[in-house]
Amino acid sequence: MTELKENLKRQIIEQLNLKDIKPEEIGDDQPLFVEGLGLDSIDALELIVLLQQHYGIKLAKAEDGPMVFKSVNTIADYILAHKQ
Amino acid sequence: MISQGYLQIIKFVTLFQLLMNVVVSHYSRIRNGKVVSDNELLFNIQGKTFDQFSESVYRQAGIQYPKFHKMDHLSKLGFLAADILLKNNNLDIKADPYQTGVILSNHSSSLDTDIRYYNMAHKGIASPAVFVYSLPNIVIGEICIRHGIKGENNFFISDHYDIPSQVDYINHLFNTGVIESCIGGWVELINETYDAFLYYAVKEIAGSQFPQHTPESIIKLYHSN
Repeated sequence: MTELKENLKRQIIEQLNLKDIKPEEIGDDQPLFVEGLGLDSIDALELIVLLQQHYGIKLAKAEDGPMVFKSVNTIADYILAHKQ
Repeated sequence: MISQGYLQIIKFVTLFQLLMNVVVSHYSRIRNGKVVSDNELLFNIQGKTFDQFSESVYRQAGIQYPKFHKMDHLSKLGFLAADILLKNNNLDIKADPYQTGVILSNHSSSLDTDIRYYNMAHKGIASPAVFVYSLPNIVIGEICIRHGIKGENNFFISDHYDIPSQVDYINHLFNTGVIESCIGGWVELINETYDAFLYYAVKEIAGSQFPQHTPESIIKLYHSN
């Protein structure tokens, strides 16, 4: 689980071009949108692409997005629950 | 009683005076690894790709704007040219954001990013973050968001930099009261070839020695660096 979260942080930084942020600066429970990392709607689409590219997971329901992409912890939980 | 002919003369003279009241106070230029502001060479960074060059200018200029890293090359070029133009000259346009326009043009539209997106789409999953930059006027959006500009804006595509048409269009916006100041210019980028020339036109400040906003003055500025 820890390795998955560390990988996720690196992948988020690379996929979203967050050049001024280091993986260790992203907290597991830190909100990714608005007050946290300040991600926007385009970043949300990029996170969907990230799930598909790196983990082969397609977000089944778009309305699940805000819950799934709330933090690194919630993304990791979703990956573990849906990875085949 | 004033004759129609006399009224026409007054109208012409008034319009002429209005045209003469628009001046070009500052300009910036980025091309061939050089960044120039009002004839002053600020940065000379040679032997770099555009990605490396733009990153160096961003760092050396002390800009702190994380969204810069997400932009495509055309937007990075326009963004840097606008930042150099406005910040380097302490031009604060937030006082009247609705009266500031941005009128730009180029030759290659957003083709640089269009090709990148096309290639990505053919390899697999295309990036939404790349797709959103597949329009040339996005560079205007990035400049407006950064500097709080909310006035008239337009992006023209032309074979070459048609300075007379652009100056005429901008002067028309001034003369019809749409804008009080304007960023005009050329932001062209394709592959590793780039050229940004931005200038700031404003209603004349009393006693200033700035050149008038005419095709001749812009042509002279454009070819000076």
